[in-house]
Amino acid sequence: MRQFRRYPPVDFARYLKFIVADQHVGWVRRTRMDHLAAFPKVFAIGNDRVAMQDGLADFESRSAAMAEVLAAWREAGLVTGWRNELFPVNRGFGQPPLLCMERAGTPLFGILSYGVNINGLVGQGRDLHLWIGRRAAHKPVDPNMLDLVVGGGQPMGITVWDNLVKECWEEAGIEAEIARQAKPVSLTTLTIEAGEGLRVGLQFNYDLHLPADFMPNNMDGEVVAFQLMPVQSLIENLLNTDEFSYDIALVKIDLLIRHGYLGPDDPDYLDLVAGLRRPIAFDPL
Amino acid sequence: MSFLERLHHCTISDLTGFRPWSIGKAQIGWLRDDVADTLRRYPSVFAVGDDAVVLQSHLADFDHRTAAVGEVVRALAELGIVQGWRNESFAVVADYGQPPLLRLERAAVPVFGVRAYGVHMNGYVRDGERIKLWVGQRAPDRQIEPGKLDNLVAGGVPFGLDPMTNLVKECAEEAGIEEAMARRAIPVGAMSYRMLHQGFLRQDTLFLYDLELPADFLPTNIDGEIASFRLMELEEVAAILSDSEAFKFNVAPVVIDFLVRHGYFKPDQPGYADLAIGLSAFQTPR
Repeated sequence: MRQFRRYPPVDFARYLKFIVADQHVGWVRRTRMDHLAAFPKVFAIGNDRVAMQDGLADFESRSAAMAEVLAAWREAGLVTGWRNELFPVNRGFGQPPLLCMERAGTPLFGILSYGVNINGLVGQGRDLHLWIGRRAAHKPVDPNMLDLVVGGGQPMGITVWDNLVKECWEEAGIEAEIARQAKPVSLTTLTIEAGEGLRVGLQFNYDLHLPADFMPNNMDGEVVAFQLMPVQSLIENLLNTDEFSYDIALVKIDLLIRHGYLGPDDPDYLDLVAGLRRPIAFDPL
Repeated sequence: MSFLERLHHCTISDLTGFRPWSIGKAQIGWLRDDVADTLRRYPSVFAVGDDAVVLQSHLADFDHRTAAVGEVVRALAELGIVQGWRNESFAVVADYGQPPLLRLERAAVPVFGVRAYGVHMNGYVRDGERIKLWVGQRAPDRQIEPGKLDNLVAGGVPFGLDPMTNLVKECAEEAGIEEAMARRAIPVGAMSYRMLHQGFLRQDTLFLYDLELPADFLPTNIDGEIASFRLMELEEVAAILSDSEAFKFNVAPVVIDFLVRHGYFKPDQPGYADLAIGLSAFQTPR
């Protein structure tokens, strides 16, 4: 349960609901009110909500207005870790996006962002080992922390499957032929307060069994080192440290549950299972 | 019916018409209003209020609680409220893993709306890259959901057994699986739900297991609870789930979870995320 205690429950009273086209799609810190008020043509601010102005009636105009706001905030140092990657804004995966926005801006607006993760597995049973990466020091989110062999955000305009194959190559040098053997196995969600805002995430998780002689090879500089960790060490690490970034800790707990390394004899079993896939905290339509 | 609707088919959120009942500070279950009012006849056991029912505090230990509630249950059976006596008792606990507060005849579990624990096992066979699932058909004389499709092995966890020990016992009784093979089953998750069933509130927590079986394995039902078994392609399983109510109400979500974990559904398919999150509706223990 250590991992679930890393972030206290979110106090939503500190946030305004972010509304686009009458749909609740995110959360903005109340402390950003003044920065929002500087753009009266873009945002209408109410007591418990901030809405994109009705005049911004389509995907293009909303995306352009948001790009302008984020560019100004970036200039002012409010948005850090610019990625040059556009993420969709919607209430659920696959729904038509109401707008798109730079990835670095998504936590400022508490936007639901999607990701794809791969558990790289070697062996099975008591001899199961997992390929674990260490995030580069320059990563904008969770630098230096332990990570999966492959994981990435899910940007606009690419299927999850194509993104997985692309990330496999960029992050670990896994060829497409092997990457396509990955099996979708679960979904995990998180809603946590991070320095920059609210991180709301939904992650598609895959298991990929790799040959014993496979060696990952990072191509994009985002991972500094890989290690092949025995499953018992993974369990010890999750029980005793916060070395894994939180979203990845969830993916690993999910793996330990699905593969039977955690079972009903663990007194926290039901709470662990329940903590992996909490529904996203948006108002119903 | 979509897979997602199939999931929500077995949840209830409106508890109008039910009253919570407690032992000390721990809420143990939900009583239908007419049952709660009937309990006014046993004031030495239950303190019945209009909004809540509390077990009398002088029943301070396991033995006293079991004896006193047991007498009430026998009286309710004579009144026809508790039906289908099983001669099998379940542990009543405040929370999973905590010491039992009393033991209760299984037939009274839904009447008192207390949480019951069960085990469900997906028995499957690998055929190269493909997976096939063993599906049982419940005997026509079963009290609950006769004739419906079921997991290879499933059963309630009776008093005094842990889930894995119970699974091994059920494997032998329901499918003729020997202990050495049964112990290879791995726990893969849990599901909890609260639903209306035959007019009572059922609160179940199911511990889920997968067991990979050899291609030449043939299940044999020993206890008469399952009429027949079939090894099904996952496509057929999915079609039955989406087109019919042939699966037992609480087996449908177990099988949907199996299909998700084994990669039958793909994230790029419409509705995948809603379905996979939808399973979490069954993962809240309280």
